[in-house]
Amino acid sequence: MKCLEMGLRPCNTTGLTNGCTLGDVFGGKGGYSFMSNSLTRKDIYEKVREQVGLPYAESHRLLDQMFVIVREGLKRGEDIKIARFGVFAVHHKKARIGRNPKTKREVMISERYSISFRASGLLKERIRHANQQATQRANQQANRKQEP
Amino acid sequence: MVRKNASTMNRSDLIRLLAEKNPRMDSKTLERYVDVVFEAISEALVENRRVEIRGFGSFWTKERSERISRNPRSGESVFVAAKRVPAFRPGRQLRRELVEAGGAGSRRRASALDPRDGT
Repeated sequence: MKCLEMGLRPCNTTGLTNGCTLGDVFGGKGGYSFMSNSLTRKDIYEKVREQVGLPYAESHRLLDQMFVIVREGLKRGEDIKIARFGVFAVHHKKARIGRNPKTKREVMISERYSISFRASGLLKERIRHANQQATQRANQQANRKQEP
Repeated sequence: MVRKNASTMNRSDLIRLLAEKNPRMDSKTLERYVDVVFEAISEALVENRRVEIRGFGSFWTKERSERISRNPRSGESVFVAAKRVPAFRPGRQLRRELVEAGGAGSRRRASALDPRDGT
């Protein structure tokens, strides 16, 4: 399948030719340059416009609000659980003595809170599956090239 | 003050809170909105792309090489194929906010600054 058929950004925007396949993308080293493009807010707004029919400005406002809500929740120590996506949880880390690797000086690292994200089984499975398929396709293609 | 396991906010809580901030909007629309956003992030991860939400954090996938693992119960060796796993790292703003929220009520507050920020 070609990148354009998949509704992705054309490869030539990142220096590859437009005809590269998924196999090129996941298979060879460096071949996935267009795939490793970041998903930007604009991409999200575009999907929202298509699927929900909200204009960009509205999308922008809602996305900010949504992540403010999530952040506020995390600050209260709540776990944020999004079905079919994953869980964000706050972890407390105790104060400890660390060392600056460059100067070898000991520094006190204060107690802190960090966020962990555990992806849902479904999301992990989707990622694993997509990757497997791409690898298989790349292998098949490589074999076909060798045969004749 | 950040408390451990205070409670859980789930998808419907998030939609409800979003609806409270937008009383004029249809909650069905907001529900679809939340779903589309998380689906967009998921799809990007499936496509091996990175997702960055400014102020919140970024998502990407890490490669795990193949390995031989052991079934801890039977001691049997099991081959685990290479795979990609999703990862998340909180953004600077979120990390800073957590330090402030955690520091506000705690007695032991050596430094409110996150050394990783280099500030």
